[in-house]
Amino acid sequence: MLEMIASAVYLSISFHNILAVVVGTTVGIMLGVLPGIGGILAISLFLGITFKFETATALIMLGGLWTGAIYGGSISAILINTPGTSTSVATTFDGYPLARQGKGGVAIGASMMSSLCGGLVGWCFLVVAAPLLGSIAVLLGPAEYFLLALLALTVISSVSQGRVIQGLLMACLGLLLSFVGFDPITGYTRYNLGRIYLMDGIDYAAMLIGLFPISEALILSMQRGSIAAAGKIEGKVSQGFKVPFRYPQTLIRSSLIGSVVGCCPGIGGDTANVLSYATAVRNSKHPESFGKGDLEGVVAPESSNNATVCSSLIPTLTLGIPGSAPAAVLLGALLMHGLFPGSDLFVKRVDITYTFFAGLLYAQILFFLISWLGANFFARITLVANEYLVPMILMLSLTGAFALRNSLYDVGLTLIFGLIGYILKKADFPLVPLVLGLILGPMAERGLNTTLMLSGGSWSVFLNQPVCLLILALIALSLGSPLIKAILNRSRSVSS
Amino acid sequence: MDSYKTGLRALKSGRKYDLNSLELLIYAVVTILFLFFLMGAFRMPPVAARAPIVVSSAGLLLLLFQLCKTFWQTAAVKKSGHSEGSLPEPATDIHFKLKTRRFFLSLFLSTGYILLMGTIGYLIATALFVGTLIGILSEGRIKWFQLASIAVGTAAAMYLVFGLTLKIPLPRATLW
Repeated sequence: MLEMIASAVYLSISFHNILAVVVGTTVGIMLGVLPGIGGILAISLFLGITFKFETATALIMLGGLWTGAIYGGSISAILINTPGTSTSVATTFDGYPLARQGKGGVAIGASMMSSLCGGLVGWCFLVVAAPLLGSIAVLLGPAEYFLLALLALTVISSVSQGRVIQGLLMACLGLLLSFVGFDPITGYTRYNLGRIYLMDGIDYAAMLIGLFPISEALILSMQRGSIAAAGKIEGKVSQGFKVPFRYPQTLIRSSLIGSVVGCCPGIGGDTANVLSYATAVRNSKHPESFGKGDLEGVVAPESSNNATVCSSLIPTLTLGIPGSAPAAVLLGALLMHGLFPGSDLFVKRVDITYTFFAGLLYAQILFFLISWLGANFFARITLVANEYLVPMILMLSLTGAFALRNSLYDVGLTLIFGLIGYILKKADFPLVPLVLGLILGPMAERGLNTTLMLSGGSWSVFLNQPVCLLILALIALSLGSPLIKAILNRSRSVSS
Repeated sequence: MDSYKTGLRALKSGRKYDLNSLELLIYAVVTILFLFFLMGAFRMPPVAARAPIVVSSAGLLLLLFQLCKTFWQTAAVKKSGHSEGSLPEPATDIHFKLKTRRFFLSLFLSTGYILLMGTIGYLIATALFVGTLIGILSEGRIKWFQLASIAVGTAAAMYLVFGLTLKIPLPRATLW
């Protein structure tokens, strides 16, 4: 095992992998700086392009994109009070006041160092916890995998911010779309409308590229000008590097919050950065200084949001339950390359898994170096006008869609999903359950049919196994939690 | 209960609390899709039909639940005695028309880009698409020779990076 890990680390320092992580991280930061773009869009934009790469190289590049995008969002959060990604919302609370006080450079330096520390803690969590959980995943059977797929869908739907039913509907629709093409058990062709193109099913990469980057480009096309009017850094960035070490308790606590929250499926960096900021305020000796330019208010959210990048991969790689929305897209990338979460990654293809882990470590270090060197350049990206951004995003997306299977039908399908994504976004329907349904549909159906074949058609097998009962209880909890939360909120408001 | 309070607030602001037309359209399309998958499943072998029947039925039940929930909330709000407002009229000002035009032009040009890729080739299609779309979205602010350089430069960069360096096959056709 140690030899395999050592050889995986050796493989990770190949020219292609290093280039992939450098390019991925740099592009990720550039995309993350632009508000509204974020980790999901960055990964799905390059999904098609990385399809032809070697598996480890592709995963490393996508991991670099995600890490870079998470950090990139902090730059615009601090400079223009507009978080580039939803994981940088809490950074605006103290980051922007600091920028207005002429300390934008210090704030960015502090956020860089905090993100590096948090990212390294999250990475340690991943490397230690994932193999342990992966060895448990080997013991799971088809019934458990079917229920895990349902759990992933219900969890992602229940965190859809008050639109639980809409999330579940989108999950059902995604599952139905996954049934297009050959049935995995009988080989019967389903729902292909007589088209040879649909016999292989709907490519989820094409759907991902359409639903996220293309729909976002269509929304941006309606806006004129650029997102920001000013993207300049005042003060030296390196002055902020020592700042996180002045608040060691906050740094460690926030990194741990990010690592733990990231492990919880469906939650992700959005919750972690706000939670760690609130915890920092509560534990501070000077809580009144928060919100007015307190550097501790930058250290807390930044260390936690980067910690979630690696830790959210723990349930994704071991159980196939995405720890966050970008992790769901990365799960799609894994499946695209013929890798399955669980035993596949931690027993059969452990070399690729550890090469990927090594790549994530390089991404965590590289984003720090690249941001330091290019801080002013990245700040200016907020000034890019939409008239340049929209054609570039559309062109890259459609090119990426073609690169999947060298088929113009995929490109057409991507554009159709782009339009569907636009309409769903306008109506405030969540998109991640739709994508997850398509990705997890085959695993869920295979699990269901295999279980029923082994049990002779009896559904009671789902109630006889203790692990199945546990997962069913978790499904009930995830579906019931929005209702419980609403009842608790109501009773609190009545009592106050 | 949150939805109930939202409905009350919506009414107080003068908006009619029921499904807006876009949501109704989505629910209608989703219903048709669920029915399509359900009907199609009855013509399949049992093993192949099992999962589609379960999921379509679950989806239809969820839709029914959502519609009942919406009607119950609307009825509760009406019963509370608030008068119904009306949905705000869509903006008819010039900015709304311009925004819609930009959206449809982007969509139309993207469709044209896909068709051209297969007929005149990737490089020329990319140059035309990028140049035309930037020109339209910039509303004449960028001069034509700047547009041409950006368009040609982008197509060349795409060929260098994706075609030559990454060796990703790009669509070839009549002219290239």
